[in-house]
Amino acid sequence: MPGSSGTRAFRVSAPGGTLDLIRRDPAEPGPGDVRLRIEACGICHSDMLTRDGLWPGVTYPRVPGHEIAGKIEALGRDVEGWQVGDRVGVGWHGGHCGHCDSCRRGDFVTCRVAARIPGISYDGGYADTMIAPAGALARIPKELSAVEAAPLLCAGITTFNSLRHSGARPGDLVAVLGVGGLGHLGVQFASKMGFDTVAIARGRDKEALSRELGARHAIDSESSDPAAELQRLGGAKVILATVTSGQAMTAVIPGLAVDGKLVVLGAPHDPLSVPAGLLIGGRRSIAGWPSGTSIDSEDTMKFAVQTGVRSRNEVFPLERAPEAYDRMMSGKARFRVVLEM
Amino acid sequence: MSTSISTDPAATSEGTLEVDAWAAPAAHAPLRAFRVPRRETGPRDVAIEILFCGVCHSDIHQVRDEWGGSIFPMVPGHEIAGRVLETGSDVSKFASGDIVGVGCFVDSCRRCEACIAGEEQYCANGIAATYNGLERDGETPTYGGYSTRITVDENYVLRIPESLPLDRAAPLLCAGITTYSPMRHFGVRDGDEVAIVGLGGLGHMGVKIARAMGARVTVLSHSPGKRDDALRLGADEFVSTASADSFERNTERFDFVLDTVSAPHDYNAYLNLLRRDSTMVLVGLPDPALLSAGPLISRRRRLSGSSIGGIRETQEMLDFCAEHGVASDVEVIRIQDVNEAYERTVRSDVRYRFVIDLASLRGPEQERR
Repeated sequence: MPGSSGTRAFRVSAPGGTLDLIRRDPAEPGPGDVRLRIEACGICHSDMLTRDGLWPGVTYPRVPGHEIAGKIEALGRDVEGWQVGDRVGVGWHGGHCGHCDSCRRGDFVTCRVAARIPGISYDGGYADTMIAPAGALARIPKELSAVEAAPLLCAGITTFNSLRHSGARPGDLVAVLGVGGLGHLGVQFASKMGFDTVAIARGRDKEALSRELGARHAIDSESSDPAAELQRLGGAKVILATVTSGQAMTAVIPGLAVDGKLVVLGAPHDPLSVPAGLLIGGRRSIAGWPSGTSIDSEDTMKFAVQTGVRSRNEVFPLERAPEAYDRMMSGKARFRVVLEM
Repeated sequence: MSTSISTDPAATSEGTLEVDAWAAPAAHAPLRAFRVPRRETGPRDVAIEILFCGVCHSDIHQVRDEWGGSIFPMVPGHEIAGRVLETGSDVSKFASGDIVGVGCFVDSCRRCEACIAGEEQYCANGIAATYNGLERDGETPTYGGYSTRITVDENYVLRIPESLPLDRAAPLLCAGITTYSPMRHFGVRDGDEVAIVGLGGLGHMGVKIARAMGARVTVLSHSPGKRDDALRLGADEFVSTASADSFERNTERFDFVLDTVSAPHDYNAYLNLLRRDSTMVLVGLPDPALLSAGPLISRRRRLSGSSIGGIRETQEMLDFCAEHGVASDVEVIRIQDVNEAYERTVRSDVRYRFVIDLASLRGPEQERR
């Protein structure tokens, strides 16, 4: 049994294992690193990559969590530009090598040498403290609480950053496939960016919510063919796929307009099936997008402050992390599950 | 069809004349001689004496009704090169004697966003295909280029630069534009590393055009025997995908991949050959294939497709080919050999395009020279 002193962390000891509470003394940050006092951490579906050992090379024991908001508690050597007490966050992008060709072009998120992910490459945010590289830190604006900021550091940045690079322009028909943790932020961002926003969700019960989040059109993919509905609206310039089903992604491809693009944000459980004729016949595309870096996180939070976009959260105290994780996996959370320390 | 200035002796009924052609009477039936109706030259029409017509693999798919919905009798052919016989009273772009071409479509709605943008190939209301389609009236079947003559609205006729050999220019109207358009649209630039997957009718044009655009060209093929041809056509390098490590050795190498293969294959392996932020474009027409999103997400790659090109871009392509001395490698045949040519095309036994010399269809009584 863990003792009563030290800081708390929930860690997985082996692939498929449970989340176990441990207590440990806070580590000292090494050169270039800081220690964070964590205040909130969002629970992302991709935390299952750690829990179930699905990410190549993940080692155990490992503390999951990559939607981290807190304060700097200690600085390692050679850390410049940051002070103890600064409010900061860390997201999916948790470090890079600085010398590969991607990094030397300033494109840290596609670093090919040492792309690091909190909760996968090193211990993450289901804890009171963690060590993070200073290069992965994003400043949290004063208008956002830690609980508000945390989900913006993965679910938020991934939808915001992919939408703003999607090529869609104000007034274009943009659909968000799935209204869950990512999707409910995607709908808000798309609407605030001036897109003619469509929310596609399973079942009628999310329709009112989707409209409340800013969707001009809501499509129930259970009672109608979402591709046909999108074509009735003129065809989508962009469909942002926030679901985990390749089959659901494949089903909406015929809803793309000429030159339309399906943007995939997470690798689905099952593969997509590529309808070559549809791609060829309308120069349609399937593209991928990998979140962004710390400065993209700051842009995301700044835009959220400016426009009022907020994650809708179910908040659990850290000691209920296993229950919170199960809640996220159930798919029933409305919409993001966040641990508060 | 209001006014006609034609005095063609072949005219049969008002506004229509009959010309020689070869047609498939039904799915899977061999092609044979056929008389096909052509409209007389309307005010905006160009009447074209067809001199050469390329044999595209899609001719065979449609003759055999492999895509469904084929209209018979069918006169295939959408790689048409010829000479203007006469022009309608309002035609301003062409004059009698001009060397011209017709590609995969002879009309479109002219009103939708795609048509207004000059990308008629993506017409929201559907193009009028050069054959196996309907004219804009929604009734009159279209007949293609395995024929001595065709009547086409001047806005859908291309000018073939005189410096291009006409038999070798015909395949540019489909194979040429199909490979040129995606490379232009997705921005292949001087010095780019371009991979051409598959070395058939499309692939061989892809090699020549990519090379002319200044790219460094690598051909990927599962037939090691195509190495010499690939290099002769202008490729800088040949990679045999039959060798086990060929994909790993070329990971993240290419700025653009043009996939011309129509047999099912593993897209994921080819996507991993792309550098980050780069695109692979399908122009063959394989059956649905599985795709895992990992290679797309990790390097922000894109898988897309592309269909022929618009009239403006097709003209641009023809001028580009003339400027760079690019034309198709062809084997010229008589129309009487077309059924055998189909069999050979299916067996990939052609380097790289069959082109029908329509002189073989012209009896002395039709000769006008």
